[in-house]
Amino acid sequence: MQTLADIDDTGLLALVAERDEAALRELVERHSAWLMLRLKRRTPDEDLAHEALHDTFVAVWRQPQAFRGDGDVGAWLWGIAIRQLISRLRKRAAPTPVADDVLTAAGPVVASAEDELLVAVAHGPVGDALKTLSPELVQALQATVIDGLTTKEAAALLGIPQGTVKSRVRIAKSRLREQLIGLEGLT
Amino acid sequence: MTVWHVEAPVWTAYAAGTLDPAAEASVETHVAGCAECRAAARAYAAPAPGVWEAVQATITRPRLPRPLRPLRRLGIPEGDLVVIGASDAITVSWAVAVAGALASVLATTLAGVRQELAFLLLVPLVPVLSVVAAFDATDSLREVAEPTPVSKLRVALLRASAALAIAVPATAAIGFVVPGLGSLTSVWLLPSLGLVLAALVLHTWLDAWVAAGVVSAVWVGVVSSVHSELDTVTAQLLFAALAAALAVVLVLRTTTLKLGGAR
Repeated sequence: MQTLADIDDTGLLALVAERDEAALRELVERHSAWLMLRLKRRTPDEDLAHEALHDTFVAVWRQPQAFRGDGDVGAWLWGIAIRQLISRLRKRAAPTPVADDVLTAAGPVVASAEDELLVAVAHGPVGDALKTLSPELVQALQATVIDGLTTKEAAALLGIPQGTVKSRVRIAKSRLREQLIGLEGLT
Repeated sequence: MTVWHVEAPVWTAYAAGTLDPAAEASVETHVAGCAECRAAARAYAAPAPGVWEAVQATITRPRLPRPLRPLRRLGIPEGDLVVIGASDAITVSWAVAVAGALASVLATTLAGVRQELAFLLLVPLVPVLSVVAAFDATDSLREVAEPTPVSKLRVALLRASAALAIAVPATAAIGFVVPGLGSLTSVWLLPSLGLVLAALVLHTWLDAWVAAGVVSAVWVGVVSSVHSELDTVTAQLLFAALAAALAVVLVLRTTTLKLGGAR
């Protein structure tokens, strides 16, 4: 008899779909820590991060079949978590219902092959170039590029108008482009 | 597979928020896809106690009935919706309202020259029946009110409003469907309000359907004797005054005594 600890995340989701609470509990134990760390990087309000984490697993329980089986469950979970955080930010008083579109829109899926590229980015010229951007520009890039949010979602997360998100992303990209061209002598 | 993993000093800096943006982005993107690093994260996250317990409490709590969920988005407190949704009777009540409205249309159309009389007899009673259905015996107001940390008046008003939200538009539509009613289309509103309140007041003593029966009988008596006077200003003011008085009685009854009446 294999234990829950031996089952991978996709298998656990299948069990959750069969209304297995123990499987959801295993997912909570595996994923709470990193999701919480990352949520806390997106909001200074720890209570809000906790609520978003709670909502995330409730959403998983209600619609585990929304995971389409492609890519990593972790990336899918983050897609839900960041959107739950945004919902909470929009309406702090009441608990947020889980909309279907939250689940289906969730998740930039990351293949592990991209990791090497990321290491190169962090320690290469792009990393250096990023350091020269203002925190506002970096936040806008982070929300749209790293978290894969739409302009509207990013605006809600950062508490700025959509137009501002767009212009900050545009400025950040053009700065990065200028610097990279300057560094590598591209035309 | 990658051999790169997040190392201890990077975790510490990430948790503290002191990583530079590029490193932070690469940690996040890597961790989302790396089970090993996700397990390692547990050592650096402040333990979030009770996450599972809270999630379990939420998922085992019954959800609101589907028709009520959109209302929560409109800012109606969940507690109020639970009170409304606690009765299966609310859908019965809505069905009664619609069926009653349709039956009234039919009866009014068939009544020929006595069309006005039929309209005045039936239409004001549709909201009464619908409200009464919302308080039906299978889930009597008393049973809800006693263990609920909400005032009985609030429960009564919430459920009556939920019933009327469907009953009043359904009934009002009759005035437009049936031709030739003229001013009658609005005459019924105040009497009907009075009848609903009267039924609720009686329901503090009597069974819901008995209360409805008494109210209906009184209304039939009123209409058959003075139906031609109902659209006068005096009559309308009288009904308004009556409704106000009944509202006061209802408040007194529900805040001082048990609601639900004798079994």
